[in-house]
Amino acid sequence: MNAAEQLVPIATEPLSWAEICAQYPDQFVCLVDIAKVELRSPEIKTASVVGHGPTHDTAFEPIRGLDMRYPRFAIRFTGACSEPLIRPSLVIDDETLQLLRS
Amino acid sequence: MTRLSSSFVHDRELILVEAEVVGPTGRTTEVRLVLDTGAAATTLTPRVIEKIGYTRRHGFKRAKVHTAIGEEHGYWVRVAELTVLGVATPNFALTVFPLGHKDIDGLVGMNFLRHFNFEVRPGDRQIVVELLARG
Repeated sequence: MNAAEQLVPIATEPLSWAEICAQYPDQFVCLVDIAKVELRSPEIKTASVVGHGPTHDTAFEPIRGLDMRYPRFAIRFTGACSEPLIRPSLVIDDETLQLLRS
Repeated sequence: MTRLSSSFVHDRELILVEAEVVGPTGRTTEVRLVLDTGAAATTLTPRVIEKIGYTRRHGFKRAKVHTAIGEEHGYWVRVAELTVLGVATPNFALTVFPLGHKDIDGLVGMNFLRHFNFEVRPGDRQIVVELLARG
C-alpha cells in the first residue's frame, strides 16, 4: 500500500440513519453512497460514513481533496439542534432586484 | 404539463426540502433547505458552498442582510447547478450567508421558486411542482 492509498478514508458499510445517529451521536457526519427513503426526499434510508466530528469541517476533512473518489456527499448533524434559525432579510437595491428577476 | 412530486420533512414547523448543489469541478453535495416564500433570494451557508469548491473570490457581488442580531455582509455567487424539488437550474445565482443552525444548509427563496407553480400539501408532506411551458 502506498502513501496515497493509506490516506484514503475508509467508508463504513451502509448504515440506516438510526444506526448512524446511534454510532455517531451529537456530531456531524460526512455521508456517501446515500440512499433516500424515496426519490427527492430529505430523509436518508442508508448511507456510508466517511468522516465525523464535532464540526462540519472536521467531518468533511477526510474527503476534502478526494473529488474524484467521492464526487457526491452530504454532511448532516445527528443530534437535536435547538438554535434558532437566523433568517436573513436581504437588502435589495436596483442591481439586486434585476438579479432576482433574471 | 409536467408535474413533479417531492416529499418534505417538518422540523419545528419549518418545511425542509432536499437539494443538490454542484460546484465548479462537478463535485456535488446534497443539502437540506428551508422552503421560504418570504425570502427574495436563495441562500446557502459558507460552510456548504466552500466544500464544493467556491470561495468568496468566486462572488460576483456583495450582499447585505439584516438579521435579528444586526447587519451582515455576504456575497452572491453563481453555482454550476442547483436542483430543488426536481427542478435543475444551471448557473444559478444565490447569496451566501451563515444561518447559525447545525442542520439547515440554506433557504430556497423566490428567485428559484418563481420559475414554476407549486403546491404545498402539508397533510401529505408533499410539494407538487408544475413546470411552466417555455417561450
